[in-house]
Amino acid sequence: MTTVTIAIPADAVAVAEVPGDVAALQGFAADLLTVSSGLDDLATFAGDVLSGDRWDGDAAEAYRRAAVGTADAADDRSLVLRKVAGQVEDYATGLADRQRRRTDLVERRSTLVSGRQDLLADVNAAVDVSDAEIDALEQRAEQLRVSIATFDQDHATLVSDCQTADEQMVQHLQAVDTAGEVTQSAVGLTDPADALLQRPGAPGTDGATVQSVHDWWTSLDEAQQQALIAAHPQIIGNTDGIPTAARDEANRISLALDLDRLETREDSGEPMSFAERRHLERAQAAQTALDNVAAREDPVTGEALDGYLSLYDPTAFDGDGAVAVSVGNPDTAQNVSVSVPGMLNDGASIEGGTESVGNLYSTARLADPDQSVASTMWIGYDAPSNFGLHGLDTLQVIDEGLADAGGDRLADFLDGMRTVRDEDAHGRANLTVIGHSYGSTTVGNAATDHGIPADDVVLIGSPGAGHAADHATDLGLPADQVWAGSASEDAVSHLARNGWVGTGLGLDPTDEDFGAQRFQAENVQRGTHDWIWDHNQYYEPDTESLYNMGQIVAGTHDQVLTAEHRHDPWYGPMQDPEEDRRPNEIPTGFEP
Amino acid sequence: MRRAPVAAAAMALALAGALLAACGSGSHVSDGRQGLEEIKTRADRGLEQVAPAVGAAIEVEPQRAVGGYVQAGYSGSTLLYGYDAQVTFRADRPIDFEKVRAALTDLGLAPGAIARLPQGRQGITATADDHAVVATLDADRRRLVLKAKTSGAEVKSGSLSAEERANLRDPKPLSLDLD
Repeated sequence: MTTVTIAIPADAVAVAEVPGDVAALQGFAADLLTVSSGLDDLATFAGDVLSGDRWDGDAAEAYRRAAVGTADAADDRSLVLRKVAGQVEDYATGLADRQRRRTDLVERRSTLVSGRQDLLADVNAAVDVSDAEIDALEQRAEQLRVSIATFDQDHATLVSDCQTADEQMVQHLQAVDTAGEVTQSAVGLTDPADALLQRPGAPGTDGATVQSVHDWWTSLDEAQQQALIAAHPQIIGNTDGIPTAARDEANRISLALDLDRLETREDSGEPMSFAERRHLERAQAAQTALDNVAAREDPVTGEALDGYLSLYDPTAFDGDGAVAVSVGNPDTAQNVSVSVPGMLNDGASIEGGTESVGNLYSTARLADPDQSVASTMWIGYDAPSNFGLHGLDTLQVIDEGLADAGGDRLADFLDGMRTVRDEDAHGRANLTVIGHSYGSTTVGNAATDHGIPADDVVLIGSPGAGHAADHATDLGLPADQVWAGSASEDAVSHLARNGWVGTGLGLDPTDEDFGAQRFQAENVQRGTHDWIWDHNQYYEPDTESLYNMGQIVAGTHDQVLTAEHRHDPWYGPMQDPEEDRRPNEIPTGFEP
Repeated sequence: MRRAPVAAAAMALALAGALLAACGSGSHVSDGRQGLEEIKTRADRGLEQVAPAVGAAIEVEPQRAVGGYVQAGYSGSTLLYGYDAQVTFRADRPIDFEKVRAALTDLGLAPGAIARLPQGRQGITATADDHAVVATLDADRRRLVLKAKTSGAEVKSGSLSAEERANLRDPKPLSLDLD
């Protein structure tokens, strides 16, 4: 018997850890950007005071001498922090890549270890075998040797990359860990943000349009975009034509600064003005809405949902506030909806509004689980919402002035959504625009006065479809893409004009003469509470209206439960056949 | 059938009424947290009334009883909450839905006709003084969900913490006498 020696290589080295929390680092980068933005505001404030001519004399001169240093220092710190934020973001991106590489290596090593054990067992068992079998074992040993050597090399590269990245990050941070170093680091740095806003097509420039803003934004490199987000979050966050993700990043900076400033004042017990309290209330409502979205799960995948703050201006409309929150990203989702609320809504209403569109998101996802969804609650116009001391706009619910102005803003917002979408990458969105109550009048006016790029329009609880809509097709869509839902007990929906009686804010879109498709929207508890309940339950889980709106948003129109129209015979009052139909609960996927 | 408003004055009055209602007047349920408790009590009581009768009618033992709040809508910065108390019956043979309807009729709830629902389900809706009763039968007719539904609780936005809101939405097992 001849003994043959087959050399089996040693096991692959154990894979080193790649420590670090990518999400925490990204949060740290966002925090740095927020602080940078706050310092930029301080520099701007100090600079504005310096350039003022309303204060003269020795005291003014002394202040200016002191303020010069403050403004410069704030500017330096803002720019340096912005730079470091970018470096931390880059580090986080690199860390995510290194952690993915480590996961791959762990899998490869597992395969190599088991392959080696198999080979070892086969060699030990190889007694009285042929030359061919010995050759085969030697070949396997050689292949294993090569694979382990390649693995070891890849592992060494990963370890080296980790060390290099860590050393660079440490250097970046150590370079600015004293005030002097910050000042030194700022030498040669210039803030590009202000100059960028002067370029043709930029927000606020003469003749700027949604398209020109988008063209301007996409002409900028990433560093320039980051600079603008940090230095001018209010502009970037609230301008149509900027992608949703950038608007969200900018608005979250503004929101964090507002909460920090106003909650600090509140906690300190300092007296706050009425306007400041309203401002804080709206900031907290926006934060709560975002937190609530983050706490929700996609009903199909079970993954946490992403919220986007695509509009945030708590001081808009004399302090009523403007805000929009999206559940899912409207720039990438296949089925996209935008909901427009009506009277009594302002910036403080976004918590309830976001819950409503969250319900719609889930229902539309379940209607077609293969299609992604994004649902936005848009409170971007001055809805009739308050009574007296600080405005009388609720009284304006009886005319269309606010709906006219709101329609203008809504049309721009929707144009912006279409414009920023990369249709080559994500396809064309199926866009449904939903108007509730006075919001339905706003949607009607946006469609008739400006044209909106919607695939479907839904009017719910409508007191009228607007002054220029005599027929569904006046909204710029075929009649079978205009939908109307009104509960028979919804008093507000009975305010619309039917036939030759009533005034309202235009025709009742559920009237047969209007020509829209009416869907079932009764509630099993109709009439059991104040009538405002029947006006505000269209987004409630397990209702006919939410089920039907979910089908419309998902494009599964053949599943919509249609209803008989209201009609207004010449011999008597308006008739609503839905009043005689017993409502049903339609499961929308919210079973306890 | 309803009479439509015939003049701007009527419309303005109606709006004023709606606005006042939105401000909380005329509600049948207390404001705030107390209202949340009240609607839960009503629904639990309603389920306790109907579940034994329905179970006896179809000769199936009730299984899983749970209750949870739903955000029924909102008005301005006021959140509107409802509450569902439900029990599930699972049978090893098809359930005769007419027997469910008859049981609800015997309880004086005046149920509507059996409705055909999406995905092959069937439903019956009935109304009591302070709650609604909904029975839903799955397409295979072996699983029946019976709900008592209430609403009417109004809570100011921001008065509940995120944890409280999540806790409300999270369905809880019910300890009710349903046999």
